[in-house]
Amino acid sequence: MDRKADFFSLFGLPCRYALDETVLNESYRTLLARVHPDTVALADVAAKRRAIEEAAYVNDAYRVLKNPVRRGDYLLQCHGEAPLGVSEVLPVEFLNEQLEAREAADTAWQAGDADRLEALWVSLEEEQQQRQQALAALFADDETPSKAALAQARQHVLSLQFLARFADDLSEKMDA
Amino acid sequence: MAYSEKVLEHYENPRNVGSFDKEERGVGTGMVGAPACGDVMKLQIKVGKDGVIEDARFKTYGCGSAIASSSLVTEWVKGKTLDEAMAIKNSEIAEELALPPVKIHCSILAEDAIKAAIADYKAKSGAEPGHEEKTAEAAVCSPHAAT
Repeated sequence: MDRKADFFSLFGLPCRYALDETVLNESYRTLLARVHPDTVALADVAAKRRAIEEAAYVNDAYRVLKNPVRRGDYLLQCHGEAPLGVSEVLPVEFLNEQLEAREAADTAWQAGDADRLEALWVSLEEEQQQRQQALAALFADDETPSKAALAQARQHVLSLQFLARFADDLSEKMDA
Repeated sequence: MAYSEKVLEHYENPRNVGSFDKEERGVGTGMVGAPACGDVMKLQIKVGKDGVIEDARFKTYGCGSAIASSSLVTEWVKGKTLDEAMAIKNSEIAEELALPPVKIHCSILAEDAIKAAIADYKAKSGAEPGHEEKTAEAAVCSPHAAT
């Protein structure tokens, strides 16, 4: 297994944001079957250790690609950008919208307003889809996007991170 | 993960939760977000005529450490001048709350929030004299002034 290869080529995928999950899942199973520590003879300690490391590597790569935020972060890094950091500048309007949406969710939850929570969920999913589509368009081929496009992509990935957090909160409230 | 007692105390009894009208005179609003975890924090200060922070409010959607950090900062800034408030360091917040290394970014968020609130207040209250300066400069530089 080539551990210098990027995560996409590891799974036989093109280096793009849009993801073919069927290919990803199939390659994942194939790779894991090949490197699974249980397939190595118990006595061969070095081979066993290598298999454990490779399995961990495959699992990590799979989790990164599967996650819409981490996949975006990874693509930014593939194209020479810094990983998402602690201090990132986000538009105040976006943060305001986020705060308002979370306040609305709190109010609806306290009032037991399931319809309002559902409506918030629908618009949240819409925004997630829009941003993922925008990322798919920005990372559509093997070319490195322009600096301006990379900056846009970064904003989308950061926003998706906030939306994912809100989605966790919201689904908890909807289940309760 | 276990929270420290001070974090729990602020989390269970957060101080100064709420909002000021951000258009009100003397109010500065800082909006910040933590990309690492998707937390959102709004911190507001109300500055008196003497330049001292009279009151503060916050609203944080995030983990216990983020809520505790912002709650603590609203207590700390009251009675401080803007310069004193600007000098608050995230390391002091982290130390006071005994935050573990993985939660240091929550204290950074609170420091960023207070700085953003002060910057917003200065931008709002300084808008008028700043505008005059610009006009004066423009007059000197404009071709009309030379003729």
